[in-house]
Amino acid sequence: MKRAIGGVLLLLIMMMPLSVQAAEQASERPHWSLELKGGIFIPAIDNWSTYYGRRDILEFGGSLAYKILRLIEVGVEGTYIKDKGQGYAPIHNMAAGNVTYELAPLNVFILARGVISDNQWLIPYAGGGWTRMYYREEVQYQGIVRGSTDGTHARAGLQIVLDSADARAAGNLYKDYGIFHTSLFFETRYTRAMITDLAGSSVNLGGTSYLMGLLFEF
Amino acid sequence: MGIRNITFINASPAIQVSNGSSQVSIRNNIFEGAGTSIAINVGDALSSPVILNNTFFDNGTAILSLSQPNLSIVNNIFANNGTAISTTVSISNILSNLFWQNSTAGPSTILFNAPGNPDYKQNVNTQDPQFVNLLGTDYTKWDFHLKSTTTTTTAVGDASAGANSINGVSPPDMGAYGGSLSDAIPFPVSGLSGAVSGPSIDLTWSSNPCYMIQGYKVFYSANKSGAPYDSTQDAGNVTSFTLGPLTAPTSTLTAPVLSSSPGSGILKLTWTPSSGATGYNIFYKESSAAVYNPPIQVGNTNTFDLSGLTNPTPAGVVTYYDVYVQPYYQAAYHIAVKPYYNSTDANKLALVYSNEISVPFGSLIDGPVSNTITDFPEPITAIPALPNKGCFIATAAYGSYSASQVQALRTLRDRYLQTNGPGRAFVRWYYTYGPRGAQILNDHPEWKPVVRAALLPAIGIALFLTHTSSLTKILFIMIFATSIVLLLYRKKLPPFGGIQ
Repeated sequence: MKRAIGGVLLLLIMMMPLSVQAAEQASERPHWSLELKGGIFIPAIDNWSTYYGRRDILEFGGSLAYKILRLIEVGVEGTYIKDKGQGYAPIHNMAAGNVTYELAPLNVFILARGVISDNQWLIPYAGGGWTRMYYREEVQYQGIVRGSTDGTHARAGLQIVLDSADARAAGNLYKDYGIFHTSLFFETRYTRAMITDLAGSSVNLGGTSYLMGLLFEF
Repeated sequence: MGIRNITFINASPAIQVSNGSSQVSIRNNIFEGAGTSIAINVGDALSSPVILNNTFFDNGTAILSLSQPNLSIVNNIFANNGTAISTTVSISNILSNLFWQNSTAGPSTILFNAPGNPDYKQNVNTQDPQFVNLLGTDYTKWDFHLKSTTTTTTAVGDASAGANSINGVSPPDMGAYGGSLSDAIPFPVSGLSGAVSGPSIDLTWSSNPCYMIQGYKVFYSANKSGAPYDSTQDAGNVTSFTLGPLTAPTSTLTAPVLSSSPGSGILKLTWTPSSGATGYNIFYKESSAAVYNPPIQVGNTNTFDLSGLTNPTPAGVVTYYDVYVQPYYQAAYHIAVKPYYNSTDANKLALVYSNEISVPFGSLIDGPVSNTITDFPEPITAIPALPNKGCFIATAAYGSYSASQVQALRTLRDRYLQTNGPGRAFVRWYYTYGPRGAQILNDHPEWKPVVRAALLPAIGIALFLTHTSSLTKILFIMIFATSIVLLLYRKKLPPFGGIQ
C-alpha cells in the first residue's frame, strides 16, 4: 500500500509544471496530435509460438487526433503487424509450410490527456474506442485469405514532454512548423477483435501492444 | 397382323397364338436360346398363322400346335432344337424347311427330299445351314445370316413365298434373312486394325462370311472420333485395304493456364484446354532440383493427379514442386468399316460400324508450355484458420464458393478470360476490387438479391459458353444475327396494308 501511495505521489511530482518556458503561447493551444509509434504486439492466440516461433511481433503505426478540448481528443489510429512462420498440415498433424500473417488494426478512438498545466512535462493519458481489424494470411503457393472483423481497444500511456530538453529546438519547431509540443511516449494497448475461424471456434485477433513513439501536438 | 424382324431370346413362349387369331403372319424372326421352352404355341383350332422364313435355334420346341392342322410352315430353319414341330394333328403345309440337328424334327408326315433328288417343295434334313457366327455364349452376338459356303440358299427355298429381298433372286434364302420381307442389312465386322505405311494406312479386318456380302466401305475422319465420318472409300470385297495417300492436318496450339490444389502426397492439377491439343505432358521436379523428371503423358484431359510426392517430414520440412503442362498435337485418323450387300444402295449397308481405330499420323508437335506453378502436396492451413471474406462478389451473393453459379463463372474465367491478354487484365482488375465489393455485400446482405439478379446475364453467358458445343454456339449466333436483321428490316416496312 505504501508503495502504491509512493508511486502516486511521485507521479504527481513529475506532473508539476517546470519553469522552462514551453513553445506554447499563452493565447494559443494545439488542436491536433500526431503520433508515430512502434513496438511489439503480443497476440492473444494461445499457441502462437508453436507456429511463429516468437511470442511477440513488431508493430508500427501512427495516429492523428483532433483536440476537441484541451484534454480530450478524438482520432484515427492505424498500425501494421506482420509475422512469418509455419502453417498447420492437418493430414500429418504437424507444423509445416510457410505462412505470412498480417494484421492492420484501424482504431477510432477518444483519448483523454492529463494536462494540468501548460508547462507540465509528464502527462498520463488513456483512451479507447472501436477497432476494425483487417487481416491477411498467405500460405506460400497455396493461396491468400483476407478479411476483417470488428472489435474494441483500450490504451493508456505516459508522455514525456521534450520541450524542456531543448527549448530552443522546441521554439524553432513551433516557428517553422507550428508544433507546440513534442513528446516521447510509452503506451500499452489492448485490442479485442473476435472472429469465428474455419473450425467454428471464436478467436481473438487482438492482443496486447507495448509501444513507444513521438507525439507532435500542433 | 404381322410379326416381323424380331429376335426373341430365351422367351417362353415367344409367341402365343390363340382365341381365333386369324391372318397372323410370323415372318423373318429369330427364336433362339429358349432352352426347354416353346417358341411358337398355336393354342387353338381356330387360329391358323403363317410361319414363314424364321430361324429357330436352341429352343425346347420350336412350334407347338396340338389342335390346328391348317398351319403354313414354309422356308424356316430349325436347328439344334429339342423338337422342331410338335403336333398331334396332321399339319397340311410344311414345305421347304431346313431341319438340322434337332433331337426330333417333327411328325412323320413331314416329307423330306431324297438325296440327289432335290425338291424344294419338300423339306431338307441333310444340310448344315452354316450360320455366319455362333461363337460365344452371348446370344445377341450370334449372326444367323448364312455363309457363302452354304448350299441352303439355292437348294430348297420356296419361290412361291417371294423372291429374296437381298438380291432379288428367287428362290429366296432360308431362315430369318430370306424372303421378300427380310432385313437386308448385313451384320458389322470386327477385328479392324491399321498401321501407318508411308503416306498411307494399311487396314485389315475380319471378314463377314455372309454369302451376300459384296464389299466393305472404309469410313474415316482426321482428328475426329465417331460417326459421322468425313470421308468414305469403297474397298471392294477384301479384308485388307491401303487407305491413302493421306495428309496429316496441322494445328496451332495455345498455352494452357495451370492451377493446382494439394492432397496428401498429391497435387491435383487442372488446366485450361489448349486449342487443338490432342494430349498433354506433365513436367515436374522438386523445386530444389535442377532438372525436371521425364514428362508424364496424360492424354487429352484437363485434370491430372500428380501422385507419389513427398509429404512433410516429422520436422515439418516440406518439399515444394515445380510443375508445368505442355500440350502436344498428334494428328490421327479415326477409321471404321462397314460391310454392304450392295455398294450403291445405302439401305443395304451395315447399320453398325466396326470397332473404330485411331491411327496416329504425321509428326508430333509440341505446343507452348503453361505457367509454372510451385506447390506443396498437402494443404497447409494458416494459424489461425481465418475465413476468406475477401472473395468474389458472386461468392458473397450466392453464399458459397461451391455454388453452381459461382462455378460457372470460375469456368468462364479459366477457359475464356485467362487465355488472353484483355481477359487476364480484367481478372487482375477484378481480383483487386472484387474483394472490396464482396466485403460491402457481406456487410449489407439485403443487397444480395439485387446483385444476384444483376449477375444473371453473366452467369447465363458463362453457362452457354461452357456447356454447349461449338456447333450450338455457331447456330445461336446465326439465329441471333438473323433475328436482329429481321427486326431492323421489319421496322423499315410500311404498316400493314400500307403502300410503299
